[in-house]
Amino acid sequence: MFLLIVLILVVFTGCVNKEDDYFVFGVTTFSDFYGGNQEKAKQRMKNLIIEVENLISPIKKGSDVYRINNAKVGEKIVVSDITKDILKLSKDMYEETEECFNISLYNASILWGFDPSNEENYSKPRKEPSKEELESIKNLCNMEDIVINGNVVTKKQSELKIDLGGIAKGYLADKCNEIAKEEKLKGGILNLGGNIYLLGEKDKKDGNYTIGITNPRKEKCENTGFFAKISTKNTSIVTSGDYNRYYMYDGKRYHHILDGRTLKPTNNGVASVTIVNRSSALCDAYSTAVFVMGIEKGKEFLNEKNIDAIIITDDLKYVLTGNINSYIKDIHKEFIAYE
Amino acid sequence: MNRVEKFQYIKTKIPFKWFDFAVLIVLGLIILLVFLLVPFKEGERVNVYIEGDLKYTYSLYEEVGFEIKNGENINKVKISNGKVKVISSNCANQNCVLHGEISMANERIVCLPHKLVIEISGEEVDAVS
Repeated sequence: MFLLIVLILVVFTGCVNKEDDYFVFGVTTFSDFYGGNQEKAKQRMKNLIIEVENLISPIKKGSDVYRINNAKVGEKIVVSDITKDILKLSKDMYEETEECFNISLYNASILWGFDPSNEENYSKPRKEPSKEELESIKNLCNMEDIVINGNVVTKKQSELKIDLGGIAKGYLADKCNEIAKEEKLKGGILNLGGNIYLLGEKDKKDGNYTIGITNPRKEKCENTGFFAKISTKNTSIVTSGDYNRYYMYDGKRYHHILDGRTLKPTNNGVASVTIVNRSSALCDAYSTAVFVMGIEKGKEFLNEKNIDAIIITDDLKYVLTGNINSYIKDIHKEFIAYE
Repeated sequence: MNRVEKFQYIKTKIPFKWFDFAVLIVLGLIILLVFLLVPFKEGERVNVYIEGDLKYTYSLYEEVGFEIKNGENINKVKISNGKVKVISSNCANQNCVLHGEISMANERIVCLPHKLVIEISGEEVDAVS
């Protein structure tokens, strides 16, 4: 009995202390929910976010990802169904995006100081890692070295580390949308730290929500307002930009979107990529991947798949793909279409 | 005293005609100043979210200081001159305090340890990506 009490105490105090580590939940907002079992829907979403966060945090001891990252070669790590689903999704996205979306770059993120444990220092100026340092992790950033077999994950390189931060919010947003449908929610906005899901439609006029698209180069413009606005409903909107999580050093911008080929911050003239799609996981992975692909390749990729997207460049140009032309408005006057 | 005399009397008895002018100019300047100092952004609000839920809203243009309490978590916030900042917090990393002021629509201050988001909302859009 005594042991049981001690165990319960340990488990509970453990939970309380760890509460401080939430990265997704801490930046999530739920607004304008209406219709259906809105309170129940919100509570279910919160529980799910906390559950997933506990599974995939790379810095939370005992999480699935923590255990994977600290496993030796060949060690069998049994993961939850959720982690398995996100890993499979990541593999699919890796293949679909011609290896431009890559969850196995965590060693590079650490080297550049963009890992969650360094969150306070993201914007502090710092030197580039040396060539030797980059060389040393070159073989530790390959997606092929992670093998998923049912719920069992093994690694071919013990130092390989993964981070699901680039897709987990998208996965979560999709799951929350499923909850919204189950609870008959009519409308509401879920904002998972920038991953937006319009859960249904607005309680007004034509039901469309208006979403402002951030101008990634406010400092270059006289008008610091939005790049544009889009009117839509029942869909997800995700933007990857180099204006979040970045630092300036010696006049150069270093940001968190790393190119798996160079293991350096992507430097190809793209400033932000916005994807609009019913699959938030797709939005999440494609926005990062297209950012890495660059303007020409990204444009081709998006056109081929007929995806609604906006690419904005460092020199104030933009590319619109898919059907986005029909619902984008108020495009910033200082930007011109990319030819 | 007939009407005409009355008028003449009034005209001569008002000593400082230029004073009226001065009052008008001063009033005009004050109105101009108000327009210059307070940018014309109607309906801007400061939204306070705790654990994702919208808990409080303030006008960006009120002068107010307040405490946001959630259990033992306390953040002290000040809204003044169209700017919002977290003055103090009992959180571990102090990022919210170090963030400094926000004043533009859709800017936000996040206190991750307290699951607190303070956001300035422009009425013109429903969300920002």
